[in-house]
Amino acid sequence: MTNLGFRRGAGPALAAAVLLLGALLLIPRRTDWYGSPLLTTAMILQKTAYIAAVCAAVAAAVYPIRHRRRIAALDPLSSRPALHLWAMRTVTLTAWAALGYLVLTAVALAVTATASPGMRLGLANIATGLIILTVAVAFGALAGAIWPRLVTPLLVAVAVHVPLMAGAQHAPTQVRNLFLLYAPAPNWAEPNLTLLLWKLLWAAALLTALATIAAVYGWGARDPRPGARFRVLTSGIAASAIVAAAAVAGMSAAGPVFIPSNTSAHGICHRGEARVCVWDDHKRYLGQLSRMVDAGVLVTGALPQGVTSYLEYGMARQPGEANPVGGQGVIEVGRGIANLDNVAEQLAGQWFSDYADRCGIPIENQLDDHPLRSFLNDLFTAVKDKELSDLDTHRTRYQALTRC
Amino acid sequence: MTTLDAQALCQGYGRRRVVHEFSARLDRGVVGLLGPNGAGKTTLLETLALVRPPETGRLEIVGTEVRDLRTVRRARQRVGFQPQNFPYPGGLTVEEFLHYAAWLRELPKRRTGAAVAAAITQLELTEHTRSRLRTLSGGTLQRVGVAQALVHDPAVVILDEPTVGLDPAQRVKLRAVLRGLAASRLVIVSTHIVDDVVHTCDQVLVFLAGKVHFAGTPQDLNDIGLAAGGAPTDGHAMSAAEQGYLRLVEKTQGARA
Repeated sequence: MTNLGFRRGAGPALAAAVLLLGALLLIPRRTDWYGSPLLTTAMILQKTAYIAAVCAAVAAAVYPIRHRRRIAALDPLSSRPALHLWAMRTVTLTAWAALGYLVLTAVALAVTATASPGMRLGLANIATGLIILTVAVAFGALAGAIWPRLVTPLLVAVAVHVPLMAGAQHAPTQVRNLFLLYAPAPNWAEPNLTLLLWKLLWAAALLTALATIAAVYGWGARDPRPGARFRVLTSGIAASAIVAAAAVAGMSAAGPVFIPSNTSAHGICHRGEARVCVWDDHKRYLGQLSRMVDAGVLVTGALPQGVTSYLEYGMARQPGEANPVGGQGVIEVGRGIANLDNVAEQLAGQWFSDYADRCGIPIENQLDDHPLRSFLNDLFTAVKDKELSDLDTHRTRYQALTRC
Repeated sequence: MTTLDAQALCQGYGRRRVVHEFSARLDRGVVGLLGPNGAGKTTLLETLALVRPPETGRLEIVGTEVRDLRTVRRARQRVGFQPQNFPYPGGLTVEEFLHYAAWLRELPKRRTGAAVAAAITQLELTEHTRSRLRTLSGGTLQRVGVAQALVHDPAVVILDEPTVGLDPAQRVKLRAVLRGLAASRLVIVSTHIVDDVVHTCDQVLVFLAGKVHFAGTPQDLNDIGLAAGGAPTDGHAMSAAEQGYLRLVEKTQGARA
């Protein structure tokens, strides 16, 4: 048993912390991910910014160097090079963090699979999360090795978390790629595997840069020849810069984060007028989605804004993008993370917007608890699992609520 | 083959030279490094232990001349070092700590268990094997420090002031341990307690202002003290060896003035 100098039980504690923190972050948002493995892994990826920050902070806190100015810890006595010490500790801590992350993912998938077994898992989401954790732990371990102060873990956590969150929420895609993130939320389309590979290369460039700093400024056996450290520094920076340049160029040319896949769209998408488009592995929702939209048409008399077709999750186009399945207009159902419960809210919002536009309702009055919005939301939720009954009552109520 | 061969080693911090052309050929036995605070003992020991590679000069440890990373690694595997004021990772048990020390010195995993057990036995730490370091007394901690320095069975063991903070009984016990270690290896001990040197060492180096000013046996140091008068001069009891040491210090300070 070799503990690499970590505090007793540091590895299992890290795994447990990842698991616990992940659970605490996921449980309050369970309506957003429950029922879809793909949405589940996407939601975990979204929360990885928090998990990575904690992992980096722990890696910085448990690195066994203290009082380095007094040359007092054991690392300076090691016959292993500083790079070796850092790399082995990074690998060990990453393995523990990954264990917690994978258990979290497995449990969440098991829970969600009770509602929707056999659907896609979103392996790209899991892989991306693990890459982020690896880089975060490596960064934290490096900070702990070269600047071991009481405040280091806190600063490391902030340094990891803030860019990840800022990158996730506000930055354009090219910047988000630099933080190894996907889009703010996944659409129901195929992940761009080429982009994922370039991101892997980008992560390798980051790790090379961190390893170079660890080799030069870490503690352990060093080459005593004059200029040896400078040579390691320059060659490491040159190598990481070359790899980084290639990765950035590759990410820029790799296209969007998700690629809509027409081949996986259900056949009904290409027939007739009022079309319902779903991906093949979401056909199970077709009946529910159709009932919801059909009920909306029956009660209100038209699709909102005169569109003649509607799409299911993720096949929604982004503003300015070509409609992936053709046609003149669509109801955009779920641009981001959405399951069937969210779709009811979104459909209600789209019909409500038509009414608000027609009657010139000021934006400050378009509240979430507006009676029309609540009525529509209840309508779509009710027809999710059964056919619409008492149509006349609903029509009458709708007409009453939509008088200008 | 000489265990440790140093030729004209120099060491310093920036422009300040702390060790001036240290040369010595040392073999098995206990070598005491005696000197006042600030003489450069710790810097010299860190240089010999390769914590700081020498700025200039030549250092060979058990036939390996230190030239590059590969030879530094090989030489460090043959050296065990206990630094002064070592902040022990209090959360680890004695056994965990020694496993960690063995890993740092690249001891093969298959040999680690036996090596840790041997070090624990040799330093009489058996009853503390599963005790956390933070719960141990100062004397026991010093023994743990010595154990981590020899867990990988090095040819050279370097201990920086290992008797500091020990009560008389613990000091006597540690001296016996050091004598035992020196049966098969070179042990270099720094101290400013002359008694420790007299009772433990085969050879004494008096290190003053970065240079060796005396190299000989404890008996030689004793003789200098006896030649200087032997009897206490200021009303305090002092051994002949202590007088000899003080004589050397005064002589050096006089020469420098």
